[in-house]
Amino acid sequence: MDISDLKILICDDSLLARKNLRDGLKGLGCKNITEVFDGQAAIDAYINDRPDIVFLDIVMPVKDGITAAREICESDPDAYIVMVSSVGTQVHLREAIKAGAKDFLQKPATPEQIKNALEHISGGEE
Amino acid sequence: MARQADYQTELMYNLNRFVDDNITSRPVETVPGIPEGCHIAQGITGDYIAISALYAEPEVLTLFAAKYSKIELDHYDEIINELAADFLNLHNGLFLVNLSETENVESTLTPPVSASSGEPLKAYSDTYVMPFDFSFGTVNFVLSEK
Repeated sequence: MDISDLKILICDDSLLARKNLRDGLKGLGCKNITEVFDGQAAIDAYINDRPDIVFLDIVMPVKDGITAAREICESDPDAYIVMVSSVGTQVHLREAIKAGAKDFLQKPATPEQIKNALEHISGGEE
Repeated sequence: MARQADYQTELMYNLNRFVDDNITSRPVETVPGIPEGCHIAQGITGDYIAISALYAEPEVLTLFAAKYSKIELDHYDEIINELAADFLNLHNGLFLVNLSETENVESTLTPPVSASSGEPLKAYSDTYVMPFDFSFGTVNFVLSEK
């Protein structure tokens, strides 16, 4: 699958984090991007839209990203979730992997890191 | 354990890295409580427990947010607080990563909250104000440690 065809969900309560991620994705040619602001909205959007990849923050209101990742993966074990967080400790990394996340990016994520994450999912589906 | 000095050192580094490389830190003040007028606050929970916050004159915070976000901003509104919260969250996260890697101290963050409209923030036992001077004014960071 071409990167530009990927259906992408961004979930972050930070306006700037969403903007930076969106700009990075658009710079890579991505067109199909949905944005939500908390973990519960991510779960709802995932169930409705079945995106190819989810960029998910950890520290968020309503429902945190680890809980959201766990619930998304319970509904779809093949979900491809990339955690993007400022709190990239080993404990959070382990929790994220245990919840079902496939990758973890420390904020601020670079365009190269975003590209690598997309290539992983697009290459994996070829 | 008091970690204010480490917090301040990392804050200086992150302000230089993400906002402006021409800043000066002024002497830290010990204060009896979290000052009124803080715009944003964020809790740290786990092995290390604290409340972080920041305040500045609205026009100074607007310029701070503009510098950090690289977005043109010409007046103070709720978006400025959101951008300031983003910086606080980023800095606190990086501080906790450092604490985890160097001392095996494991903590996490609570979502940033707007502190100006709610109830006064309850301070822990030791509360510090760390002023940083930028070319456009002073931004005060607050750390209240348990």
